[in-house]
Amino acid sequence: MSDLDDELMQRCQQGDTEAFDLIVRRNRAPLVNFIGRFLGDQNSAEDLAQETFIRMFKAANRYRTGAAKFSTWMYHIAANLCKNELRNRGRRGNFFIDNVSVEEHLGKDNSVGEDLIATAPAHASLQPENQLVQKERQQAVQNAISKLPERYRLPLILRDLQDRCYEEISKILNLPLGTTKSRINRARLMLRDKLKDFVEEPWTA
Amino acid sequence: MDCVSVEEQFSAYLEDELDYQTTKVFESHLANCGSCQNGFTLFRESVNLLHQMPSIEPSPNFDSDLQSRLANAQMDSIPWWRRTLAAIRSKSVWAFSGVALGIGVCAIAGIYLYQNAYVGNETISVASTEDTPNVRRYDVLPPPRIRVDDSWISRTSPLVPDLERQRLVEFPAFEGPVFPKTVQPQRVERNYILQTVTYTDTPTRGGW
Repeated sequence: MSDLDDELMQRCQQGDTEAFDLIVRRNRAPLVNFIGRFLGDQNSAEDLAQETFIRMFKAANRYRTGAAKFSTWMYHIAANLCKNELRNRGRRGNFFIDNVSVEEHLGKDNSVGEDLIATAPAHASLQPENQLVQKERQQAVQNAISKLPERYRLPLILRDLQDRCYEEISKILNLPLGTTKSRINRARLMLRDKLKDFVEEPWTA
Repeated sequence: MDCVSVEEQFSAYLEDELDYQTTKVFESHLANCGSCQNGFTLFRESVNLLHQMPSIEPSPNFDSDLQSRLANAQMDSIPWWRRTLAAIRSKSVWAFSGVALGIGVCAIAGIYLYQNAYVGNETISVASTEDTPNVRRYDVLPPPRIRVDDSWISRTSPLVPDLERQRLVEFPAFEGPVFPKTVQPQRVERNYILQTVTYTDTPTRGGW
């Protein structure tokens, strides 16, 4: 995501539909990954990613080059959709939200994020038992992410899975820079406590 | 720097964002505090686990689904009056309207001709004044009647409801108000009875 996206948005504003197709091709993977890691559900992730692109397309004429980075704008829309989706799930009562534990959910079927792990390409050099261990570890990480409260989950994913800088994350989430940094540190600490059993001890690494 | 303050600096230390002085104090604390040292090691390893998470790839039909949703969104964004204007401008709508109008005209004409169709050797003649009922000056003219094969039938349209007319029928003088049950007078004036006569449609060949 770079100045090319800005240029493509300018072309899109002039009615070039191919420019928007290129924007989609360039950004669909990170967007699906961001939403998928947040929701722990690939189908909903694709649905919301498509909704994000539709909103971007509709608001293309209001996009001002230079006012904010393209990626900031895109993640801001996606983050708002994610928050709404989480609230709707909470209202429907069919999913967890914030501090509500997923233990009840996992008690029946310990499969949160399982489909996401299944989509991960396995490294060819890995032995089957190592693949299994790695898959379990990735599933544990996804479960731990899904258990984090929304206000910690979003900045953590943006920082550690989407590789966004602190300044951009603070703009995406409309938070002061210091708050963003402290939330990410807090989220990592919470994640550490949840992943104690899966983190390799330093002497075994 | 106490343990809580050190924990708050874990991310900053990991990402090399602490200044020189703070880094020295931080490292000094870690060297002397086993709990924080262990905590920081676990912290670093869990962040590494996060970084090792594979990316979720979009499914192959992501683009096609998005294209159809974008097309729908574009349609929804056009105001209704513009969509109507566009429909009016399109040739297919005009062609469809022409065909529909033609079918409608043909249907109405067919119904009209069907209702007026008489076949065979039927003799049709207009009723003469002598054949009309014995009506007097307050009458309203009855509906036109025609003769078909020696019988009189009404020729009003089946679409027109039954017609009610009032007429005065001459009645011979009699003693007392005794009338046939079938002809109950509404008003008697001298030798005349005001009757309400209902003219109904007689079925034609069309079966109405």
